[in-house]
Amino acid sequence: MYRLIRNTHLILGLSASLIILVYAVSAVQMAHRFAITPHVSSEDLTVAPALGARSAAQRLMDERGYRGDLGAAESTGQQIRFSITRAGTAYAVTYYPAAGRAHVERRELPFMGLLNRLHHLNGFEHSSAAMNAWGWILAWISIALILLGATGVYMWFRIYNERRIGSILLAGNLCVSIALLVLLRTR
Amino acid sequence: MLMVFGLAGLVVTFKAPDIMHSGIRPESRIMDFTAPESLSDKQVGEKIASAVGRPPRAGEHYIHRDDSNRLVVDWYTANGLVRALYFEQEHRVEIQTWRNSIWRFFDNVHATTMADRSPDPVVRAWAWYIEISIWSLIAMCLSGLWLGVASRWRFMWTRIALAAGCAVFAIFFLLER
Repeated sequence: MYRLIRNTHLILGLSASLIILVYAVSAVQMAHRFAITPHVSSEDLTVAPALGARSAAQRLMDERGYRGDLGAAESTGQQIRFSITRAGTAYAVTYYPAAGRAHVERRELPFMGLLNRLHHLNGFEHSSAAMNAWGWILAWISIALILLGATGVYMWFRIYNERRIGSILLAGNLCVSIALLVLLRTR
Repeated sequence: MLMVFGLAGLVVTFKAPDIMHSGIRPESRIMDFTAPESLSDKQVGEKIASAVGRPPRAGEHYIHRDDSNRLVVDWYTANGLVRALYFEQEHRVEIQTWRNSIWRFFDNVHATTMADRSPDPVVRAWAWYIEISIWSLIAMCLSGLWLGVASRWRFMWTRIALAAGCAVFAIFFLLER
């Protein structure tokens, strides 16, 4: 039994550590409000004329390699505005159907910004397969965190000469966390 | 804390209903209130906030107008939302308390950090607990990686698990950057 638990902990930990670090490092960034400044650039493109928003976005994806979720389109007179967004990059597109041209503003986040957006990316309802796959990664990481905690406590419990200090730390942790959770929930 | 972080991830993954979509009606009470005509929305909002009082465990209030153009003062807490709606013609404020599910509570508390700057001592204590937990999680990841690689490198699954973890990270970094 101990061997199975130890190997489960090892495999879960080594396979999940880098992704857990994505969440932990971005949590530090958010908790301390480290500023994230995107790199903004723009370009004017020629696109086929008289397209709808979805068709124009598809052209940009196929011909220019844009990737991500297509946002809701907004038509105002001579132009259609829409966005294509993935975690690290957002394209704000203004398409002119009559002229067959598009103005694209591209906002690229730095590494810390990408970690921040990945922290908030969840669910399976995206049009981007990669974003849906990240939703599954989050589900796996969430379960891995719970299992890593449980298997870690079990393995510590089996080390007899560390039970005393471990018991004090575990009991203190449980008392503080449960007391705070109850106080937060009951008022 | 690993349980709280893990539960929070599962709550957003499987979309536990939030307060506005859970179908539960808020608790509501009415308070008489009349704002002087000459004040701005922000000033009236501040007066409403002062008259209602900060709810327990709440952070800073947020003043805005809703879709019906009514002045609203919101306080968010880990337990949901307290909303003061100002009915200007009727000279009253309706105070609604929206209480969330235990699942959304776990999602909210996992995001209660030092950034919240709440004056409530319980919230501040919890924010410190989260802060220590985040740094502990980073330390656990790094020490776990080192322990696994240093002590079990000859075990085939050590190398497979590490390679799989690195590959997943690299693929998503390239796809999503």
